[in-house]
Amino acid sequence: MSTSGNPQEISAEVSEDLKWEPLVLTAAKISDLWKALQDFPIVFDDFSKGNFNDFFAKLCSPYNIFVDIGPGKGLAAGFAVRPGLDAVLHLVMFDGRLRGREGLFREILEYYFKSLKLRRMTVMLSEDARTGIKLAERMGFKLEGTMRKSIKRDGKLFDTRIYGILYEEFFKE
Amino acid sequence: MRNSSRNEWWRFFASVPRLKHSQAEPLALIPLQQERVDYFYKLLEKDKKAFDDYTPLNRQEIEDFLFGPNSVSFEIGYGVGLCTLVFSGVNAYVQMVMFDWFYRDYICHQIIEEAFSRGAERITSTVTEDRNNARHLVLSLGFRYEGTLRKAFYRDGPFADGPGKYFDVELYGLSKEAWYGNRSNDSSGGDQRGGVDWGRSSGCPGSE
Repeated sequence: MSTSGNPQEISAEVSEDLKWEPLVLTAAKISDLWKALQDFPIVFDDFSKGNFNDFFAKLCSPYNIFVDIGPGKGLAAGFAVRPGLDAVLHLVMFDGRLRGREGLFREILEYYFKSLKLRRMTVMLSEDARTGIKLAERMGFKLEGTMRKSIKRDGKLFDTRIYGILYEEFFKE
Repeated sequence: MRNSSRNEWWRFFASVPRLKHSQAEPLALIPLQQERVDYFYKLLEKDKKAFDDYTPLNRQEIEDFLFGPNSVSFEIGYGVGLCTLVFSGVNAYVQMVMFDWFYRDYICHQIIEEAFSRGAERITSTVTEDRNNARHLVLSLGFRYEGTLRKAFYRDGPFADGPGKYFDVELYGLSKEAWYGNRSNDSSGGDQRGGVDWGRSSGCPGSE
């Protein structure tokens, strides 16, 4: 995995005293995350819900890179990371609040873009994830496609919206 | 398609080394064994510009991809092609390469059936923007265009404007409902009602 610089050095304190840093996995941390995520209808990509093995495998995969927000207040995940190219971003705040934290999320995206030299980042959201969709749009992601009926929850099929942001779009401001 | 890009494509296609074999049709779909990875990796390494589905990956990444917890991989014939289904909930991503550059309808049908029989409700295929034959193939199978991921694929060159280039990636989806619905209605498949021409896609040269 290609990384540049020391992530600790570019970690920064933001409003509400929330900090972020690359996630360090310990047994206690894994247990805490698992418990915290149970309150959410969607865990990562919707397929880890209730499946600890899947959740654990995703945490340990060398192709996924996690950022601890808080610490212990939230989690950012870069899935299917392809250094130099793309990563699929997931963000979760355990208090459920996303609005007003765009600055923090921008810092985390900047960390992913710069440390992994990404060309773009992708967000995949279920069509009913209104809060996430609004956040993605506020952060400058553009709708690139819709995978029809690609998520099944409670017996119902939902579309997945795919959003993308290019390096130059993210850093233009 | 403009003539210049068509010519460019055929020049490229003519330059790609194609696997020569004398295996009888129909080729079988064989569950991939771990000891076959080196064979396929060598074929993929021969031309890193040819097989977009697998070539960005190094040896370890290919093995992780082929045998991942959500992956099901098949060898097509004896070393003629390689196919991987990656399941993500009710979605299955499909990747396929044929080293003789000859795509067979019956193989594509078997792979689609395999994905649906394993619980997929839909299948997703991605096509790099300049792979016209791959686009033709997925459309002829009944997949529907669902979007374009900008600059989501990098291919080493050299190209006229640099050593490598980022390409857009098109997203295509095929639902189980449409596949079986259309098949029972008119014995063809796919989301494009009446728009599938199995004969035309037969033997379509192309790459994924």
